[in-house]
This record gives sequence, structure tokens and C-alpha cells, in this order.
Amino acid sequence: MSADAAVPATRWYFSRYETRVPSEPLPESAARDFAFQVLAVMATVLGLRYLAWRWTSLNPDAFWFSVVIAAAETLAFFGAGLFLLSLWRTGDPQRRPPPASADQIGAEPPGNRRPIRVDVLIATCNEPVDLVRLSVRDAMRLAYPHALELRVCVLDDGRRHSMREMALEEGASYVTRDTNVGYKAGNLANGLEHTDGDLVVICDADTRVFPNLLEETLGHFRDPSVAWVQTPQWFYDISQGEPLPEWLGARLGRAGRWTGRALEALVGPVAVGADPLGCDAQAFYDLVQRCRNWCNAAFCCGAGSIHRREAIMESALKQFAAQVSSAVEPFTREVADPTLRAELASALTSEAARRIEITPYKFHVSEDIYTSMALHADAERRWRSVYHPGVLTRMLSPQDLGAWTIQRFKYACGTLDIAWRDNPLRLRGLTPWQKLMYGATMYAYLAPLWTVPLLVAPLAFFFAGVTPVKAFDAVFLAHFFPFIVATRLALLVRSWRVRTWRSEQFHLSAFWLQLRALAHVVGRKHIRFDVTPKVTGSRQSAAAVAPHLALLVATVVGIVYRGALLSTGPSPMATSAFVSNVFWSMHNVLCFAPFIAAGLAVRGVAKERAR
Amino acid sequence: MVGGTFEGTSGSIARSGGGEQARETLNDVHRALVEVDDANGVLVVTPLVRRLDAECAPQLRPVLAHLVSERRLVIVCLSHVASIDCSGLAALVSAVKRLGPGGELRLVAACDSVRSLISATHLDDLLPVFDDVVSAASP
Repeated sequence: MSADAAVPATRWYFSRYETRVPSEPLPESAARDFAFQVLAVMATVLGLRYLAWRWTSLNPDAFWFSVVIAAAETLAFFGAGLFLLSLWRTGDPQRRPPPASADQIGAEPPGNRRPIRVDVLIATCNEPVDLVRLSVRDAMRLAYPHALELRVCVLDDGRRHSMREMALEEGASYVTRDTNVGYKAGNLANGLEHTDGDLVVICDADTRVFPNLLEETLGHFRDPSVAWVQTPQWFYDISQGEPLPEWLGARLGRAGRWTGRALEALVGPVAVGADPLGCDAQAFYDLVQRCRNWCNAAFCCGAGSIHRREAIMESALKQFAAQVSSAVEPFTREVADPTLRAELASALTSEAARRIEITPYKFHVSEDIYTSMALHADAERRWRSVYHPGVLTRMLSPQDLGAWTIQRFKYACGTLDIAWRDNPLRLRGLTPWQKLMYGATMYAYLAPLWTVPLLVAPLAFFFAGVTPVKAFDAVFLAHFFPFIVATRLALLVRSWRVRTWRSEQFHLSAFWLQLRALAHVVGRKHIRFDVTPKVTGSRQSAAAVAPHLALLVATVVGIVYRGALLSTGPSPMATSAFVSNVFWSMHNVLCFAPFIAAGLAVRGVAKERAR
Repeated sequence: MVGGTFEGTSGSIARSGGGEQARETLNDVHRALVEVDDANGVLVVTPLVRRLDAECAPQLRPVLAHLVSERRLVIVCLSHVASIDCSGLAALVSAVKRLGPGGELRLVAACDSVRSLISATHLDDLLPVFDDVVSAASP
């Protein structure tokens, strides 16, 4: 490859981030695990105590309102409990040396020392050719300490001549098909049919692998039951913001710097203005995925994962067989005569087989989590998944709130759809811990059931004067405060040095799209597949924040209205309720602030990116 | 999947030598890959591979699809096949999907590797195994 190949042909907004390196994950610590477990148990006990008090102290003056809010709090508590349990312990995989030949990963009988074959599948549909070119070039540069047969494949659902030219020019292969059946999953399935690698690396159009991806991860496949290895998805183009000490220092001088350092010593590093679009996935990978490794429940997230072809194909064939027999069974069951039944079964089987697709990757919006569940649930094989904590690929983040909303809506619909059709709790073959982990993921998408009532509760007070509890008094605080403090402390310990604030803010702000997703799935509407736009400006950003703006305006009006009423006839009870509700509203508004800013500042961001 | 196309060859990182195999284009392998006997009104296809696996599946799949298309009964003789993997099995299953309505694909001369993988994946009904061509050819 020539030297100028390293310089991208097109000048992208992200070209200036080329030299960024990801941070290393914090090493495992048994002490931190234990401290978290103690705090999590405390939080749960204190939460039960609070709820017991809460349900026995309902407000008789606004009974049904009080019940609704107590129910929302109970659902929220259950979600928090599940979340804490799903973070119970970390368990990083053992590092094993890269295998030298196919027999060492169980792809050949012992002694057959042919090189391992690896296919890098780069799925694209409508992304710019030059963007995919960067991904192809990086994949071509994959290094390995032993002989390796490497093939880079561009899977183009766009059927573009220019994409084909580029792939062949870069020394990669080009695969396409006549239809777009199954979208990305169908595209990958077609790619699998045209390649023969023992292992398959799944990449999106913008996934750029680091040269050491294979060297770091192939060791995990020495265990023949490992079906896939997922690595963290690192969005290297997101703004890193300004460290709190510097930010405060610029405004308050030395005192500011010291305050900043003191605060950081207390809660870990804080960056002001970082990740304005809430795309950083570190919290998901470093916490959620890393804590699922120990019980074999880390799921595949698509890009940045390496799969054992045999596992994927075997699972696909088994599911195909199961689908065919369940299509035939209702008809043959009725036939008493064994000869007739066998004949009918044979005829129906071939008919069913013609109609049912073999789907190595599920034809589903959330194909990744679905495939993971299918493999984990295979009781005959007990396939294992590995979450490899070190960053080995980089990719681009959604470019505006519109793109972010499309992506999150897709995840939410897909996950809820699986919960609706193939509830993991009823899936035989999953261990109790695996059920808990998958269940926790799905339960999290029911969040609007409790966040919406809790977000609206202060408005009910401001405008109607009703409160969910009899009084926001010392008794209430004595029950509520210890619970909330213990929960926050537990999460602080668990997420030490992991950036979680932005994720939390955006998770709460996602209430509206999650509510829409819930309505969508319960209404059994067909889920449309939208490719998450990677390089684009969007018009939908402002629309995405409309509900939040409405809530913001209602809150301000409500505070003024209730404040005016109070000033004419204050009472200590009403004042404490007012203060509590203003405090809670402010918390919500502050959580929404970055989300609203992201929605409204879209033009500013685009301009900054265009420079 | 129907109608996909593939272009290109594999690259390789060969440090300790050996193992690199040129992958022929589809046309070259067409004739060398299977033996076809259509003499007695029943199509008998014999793949000329020792290993029916991921490596030969991409080439075998379109060849089989072409041969069995819209047939009622096809016999696949696996006398040359000593081992199979799931990608190879998937190639056979995708051939079943190309048969005519009510069509059946029957296997003969299946070795233990083939038999055990078929039963492990619960595909026994879809890929029935017969002892010899004569019994497989009877309706």
C-alpha cells in the first residue's frame, strides 16, 4: 500500500480526530465489586422500607393520584433493583494467546494446521463510498502474529457501481444481491453464503478496526464453545468537553481549579460540555456488558464483534428446522393413520421449507440481541459469548438529535418486539441469570410507564394542588432520603471513572420516543427499518425536543401560578410541597437541558462540523 | 439467498508459509464439483468433494440450485463426502428450497459425520437418508 493511502481522499469533519486513542478500561477490582454489592443490598432494603411506608401512607385527599404515583415509584424501584442486580459483578475474560492454526480453535481436527480464515464483512446500504473506503483500508491492515487467510468483503445493499470499483481497487471483495430482504441481517446472511471464513468480523459501513483486533480477540476462540466475541463500540468523533478544573479555573481562577479538583476527587472526572448528543456508549459497554460476562449473558451488538461461523450456521439451521416442524405439526397432528401422516408430513415439510428463510442473522430490527438470545438458549450446545473489554474498533456517532432519535427508536422497538414475541423469561435453555440479564434489558424499555407519571406529577401539584404523599415532611424525607442516597452511592462506586451522567440525562429524555415505541409495538405496527444517518444534517432534531419544551414551559408556568397562589396565603405544608416539587422539576429540567440544547443547536453543530 | 453475486479473491497474511489457496471462479469449478446422472428419470447428483464445508459451499450452492430447480425428486449421493459442517449442510437445505412443489431431496451413502449433524440440527425430516440409490428412487 502506498504511503498516501493513509491520508483520506475526502476531508471529513472527523479527520481531525484520527489520532485520538481510546481510554483503557479500569482494571477489575474485587474490593470495588464488594463495596458495590454492600451498597446495592442497602439500597434495596432501604427502598423496600420506603415503599412499605409509601403504600401505607397514601394521600386520602388525592387518593387515585397518590396510587398512580406510588405504582410508578414501585415500577421504578423494581427497575432500579434489576439494574443493580445486573451490575452485580464484573468478570473479564481470561487472556489467551492468539491461536496459530484452525485446529486450535476447533475449526479443524487436531493436527490439521492450516491457517485460520477470517472474513471481515462490511455491511453498507447508502453510506458514501469514500467513508466505506476508510473502513476497508483499515480492515486490510489487520495484523496477526501467525499465518492467516484474511478476506475483506464489502456487502453492498445499495448495488452501486462506484462501491464495487472502490472495493476491488482496495483489494477487497464485493458482494451484492438482488433484493434487500431482511435489511442488514439479510445482507450479512448473503455475505456469509458467499464467504468461507472460520471466523467472521461484523462491521458497519463506518466501523474502522484497529490493526490488533484479531491478535487481541482470537485467543478467546481457543475455547470451542465460544460463539462470538463482542468488543466495545467507541465513537471517536464525539466532543470530549473541558475538564471541570480547567472550566472552573477559566471562570473563577485558582479557587475554581481547586474546587474542580476536589469535586473530581469525590465523583471522578467531569468534563463540561462533553458528548453534547449523548452518544457515548462507554456506560453501556464498561458497565452493562462487562457485568454480564461472568454469567455468559454478554450480548452481541453488531459492529465490532467476531463470530464463529459454525455457531451462527448451526443455530440458524436448528431454528429453521424448528420453524418448519412447527409449521407442519398442526396439520399432521390430526391424521391418525401413520402411513398417511408420514406422507402428508413429507409433502408439507418440503412446502414449508420453500417458504421459510434460513436466517443466520435474524431478520429483525434488533437482529443482534435476537441472535444472541437464540445462541445462549441452545441447551444442547451451551454456546458462550465473550465481552472483550478493550476498545479495538472505532466508529462514528449519530450526527444530530434526529439521527440519535431514529437509532434509539429502532433499538426500543426492536427490543420491545422481542419481549412481546419471544419473551426471554419463557425461553427454555437460558439460565436464571441469563434470563435476569435479558429481562433487565427489556424491562428498561418499559421506562415510560413510570417516568411519564413521575415527570407529570409536579405539574399536577402546580396546577391542581394535589400531592402524591400526605406531606413532604420530615417523615417522608426520613424514608426517601436514605434510599436515594444509598442508590446513588452504589452507582457511583460501580461506575467509578465511567462517564454515566450524559447517558442518564438522555435516558430520561428518551421517555417520549420510548413511549412511542411502546405504543408502536403494542399496536403491532410493522417496524420500519431506518439506517442511522452517519453524515447528514437533519430536520427532525427540533421535533424530537418538542415534548420536552412543552413540559419545560408547563413547568415554568406552573411554578409561577402556584407561587402566586402561595404568596397570597402561605402555609408551612403548602410551602414544603412547593419547594419539593420545584426541586424535582428542576432536576427534570436539568436532565432535559442537554437534550433540548442538542435539538435546538443542530445548526451550530453542523456549522462547526463543516469547518 | 437467491441472486447474490460475489467478486474478488481472498488476501492472506502468510508469515509462516503455506496454506494459501487460490479460489477459482465459479465457472472453473462448475464441472469439477459435481457428477450428474439423469439417466433413469431420477436426478442423481454426486458432489465430488471430500469435505462438504464452508470452503466449498459458496461454489456448490449455486451449482446445486441450478441443477435441482423445480425438480420433484433429487438424490444427492454423498459417497465422496467424509465430513460435513453446518455451512455445507445449509447448502443442501438451500437446494431443498429450490425444488418444485412437493419436491424431495434424498441423501444416500451418508457417512456418520453427515448423519449425526443432520440429527443434531433436527433436519431429519427435511433431508431423509436412504441406504442406496434404488431405495431412494422408489416413491
